[in-house]
Amino acid sequence: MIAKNVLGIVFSNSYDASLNELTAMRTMGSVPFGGRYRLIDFALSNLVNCGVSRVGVITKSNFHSLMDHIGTGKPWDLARKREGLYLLPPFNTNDGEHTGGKAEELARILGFISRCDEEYVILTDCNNVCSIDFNDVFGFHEENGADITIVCKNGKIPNLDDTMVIKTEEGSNRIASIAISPNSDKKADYSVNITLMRKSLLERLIREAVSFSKTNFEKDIIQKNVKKLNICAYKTARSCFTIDSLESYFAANMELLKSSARSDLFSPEHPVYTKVRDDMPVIYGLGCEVKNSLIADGCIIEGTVENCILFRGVRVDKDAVIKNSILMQGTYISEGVSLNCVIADKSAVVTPKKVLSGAENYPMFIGKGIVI
Amino acid sequence: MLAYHKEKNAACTIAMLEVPWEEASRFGLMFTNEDGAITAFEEKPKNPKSNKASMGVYMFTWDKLRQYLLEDEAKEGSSNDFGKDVIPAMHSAGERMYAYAFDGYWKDVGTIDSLWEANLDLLNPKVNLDLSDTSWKIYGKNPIAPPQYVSGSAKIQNSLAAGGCTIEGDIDYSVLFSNVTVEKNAAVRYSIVMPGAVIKSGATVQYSIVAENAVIESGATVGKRPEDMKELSDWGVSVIGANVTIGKNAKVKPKSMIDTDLKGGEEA
Repeated sequence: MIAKNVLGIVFSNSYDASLNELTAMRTMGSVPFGGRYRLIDFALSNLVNCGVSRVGVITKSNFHSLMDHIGTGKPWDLARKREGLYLLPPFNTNDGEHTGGKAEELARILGFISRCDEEYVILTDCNNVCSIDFNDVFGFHEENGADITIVCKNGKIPNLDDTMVIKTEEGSNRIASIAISPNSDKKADYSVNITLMRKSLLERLIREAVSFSKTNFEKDIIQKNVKKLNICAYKTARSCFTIDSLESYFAANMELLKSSARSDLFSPEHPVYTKVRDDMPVIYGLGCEVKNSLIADGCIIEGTVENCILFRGVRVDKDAVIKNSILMQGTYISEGVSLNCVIADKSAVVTPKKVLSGAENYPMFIGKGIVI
Repeated sequence: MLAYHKEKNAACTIAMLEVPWEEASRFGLMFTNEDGAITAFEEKPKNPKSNKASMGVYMFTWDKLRQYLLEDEAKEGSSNDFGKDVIPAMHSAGERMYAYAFDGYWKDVGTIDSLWEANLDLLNPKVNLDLSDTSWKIYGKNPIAPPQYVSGSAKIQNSLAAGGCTIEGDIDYSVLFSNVTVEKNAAVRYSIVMPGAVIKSGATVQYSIVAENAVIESGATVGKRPEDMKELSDWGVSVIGANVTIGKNAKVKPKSMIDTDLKGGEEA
């Protein structure tokens, strides 16, 4: 257990713009995922599952829903007198928009970081869905005598700014070079923006960057120091889904219909905690047909549901046929409706007999509370 | 009920339900006058003269309750029983005691059959018990589990299932608690399956209660439909106890209660 010696820092607004349909009214961290979760649940659960007991959540904008979701941090056992959860909202500095990168956000909370007495710090974004054992990452960090360890996965390079694509030295875990968001369709090892280092090192690097008016964490801190510091890549082979668009959000949800992805993400040893809602069990009505779907508590299903993710409290009335769709909390699908490749945000209503369809690479999106 | 208690200026108000006459002898019964005041009690009589059953829910004016509890404690030879001593003492002292008529869903689940029935009542649209009523939520402990997964091979209808279940078999008219697994080609009908139980492929569970973490191995059968019985009097709900394993192809007869493991092929 690395337990008490590591401070967790979560960027709740990471890459909001890549999912603008879903983040119009919320942060990336509070985007609903997988039937009953918000994206931040995976980051927070990864942290607390290996004993981290102090977590700072950096927020920039639209964090109303995030605050509503994480509350005091009780579901993650982070409601404590000592340590626990710290929400770090922006200061009102009257200097306009904060447009800078993560280094600027870290500089803003440098006071908080230096007051914490942990020896190490883990920084994590919210747009990666994964279950990673940080104890393993920590062991790897020690073994390699690393100054900085970056968790990487192999896959198609996400279409996001500041994505670090890495090459390691031959026969070693040390990163030899980093390309930032290269224009390539090939598979490569890229950073999922989970970074472990000594807290004192982070403080020093941030102060240095700030003194040169540098604000970009990936370019000005990591890439710049790739030769100077021993920066290692921890390559995870477990399911890890990077969300960089509505299409990849849709695909990552659908991955959960595979048992391998579910067992990777929801192993009993590493549970994913979330805010509880005290919902009733799912009611499957007479004559309903449900195939290959993930269904959360509180749903009432009387129609046909195939290859879908249903969040809590969704209703599907008789003779409705829902395929390949994601319906968020409280969606109401009336009689005779037909849906295919649709993402419905919370509390959307589809009135009787409507037929709506998107495509797998272009799911149709229904906004929060919209009545069709 | 509190409003009624205050309106009647009662010392004690007891929730009351009119039960079918043929069941009345199972309950503590009350007699009331036109005003709703309780005139007499009768505890589980053989030949009931009232069908107004006490639901075991009492509301007291605190001063009165305190007074009678202290008096009862001081009394030599009192069995200190609420129903036997305290309530009768209040009644014979002429305190204002009222019956509050309740007309919603109520079921005494003190027997296996009634527990089984009450669970299946949740699936009966005619029963006045709406779990989805957000203004009257039923709170409980929430398991930390992912949403339930219903596979392509599953057939589920007319059932309730809680979080964390993996459903690959055939479920009809049943209640599945959290983290239950029903494998391919297994069938669960008219049954209650409690948290963490596993029903393996090819097993059949009918008219049964399977308790926490029990394992029904492949090919085993538990319970039977009443229609398939030669003697209906031999039929009843089967119960598999917590953590019990029912071995491969074993058979559990209707009405049996199994609390130790059953080896493969055995009958009980």
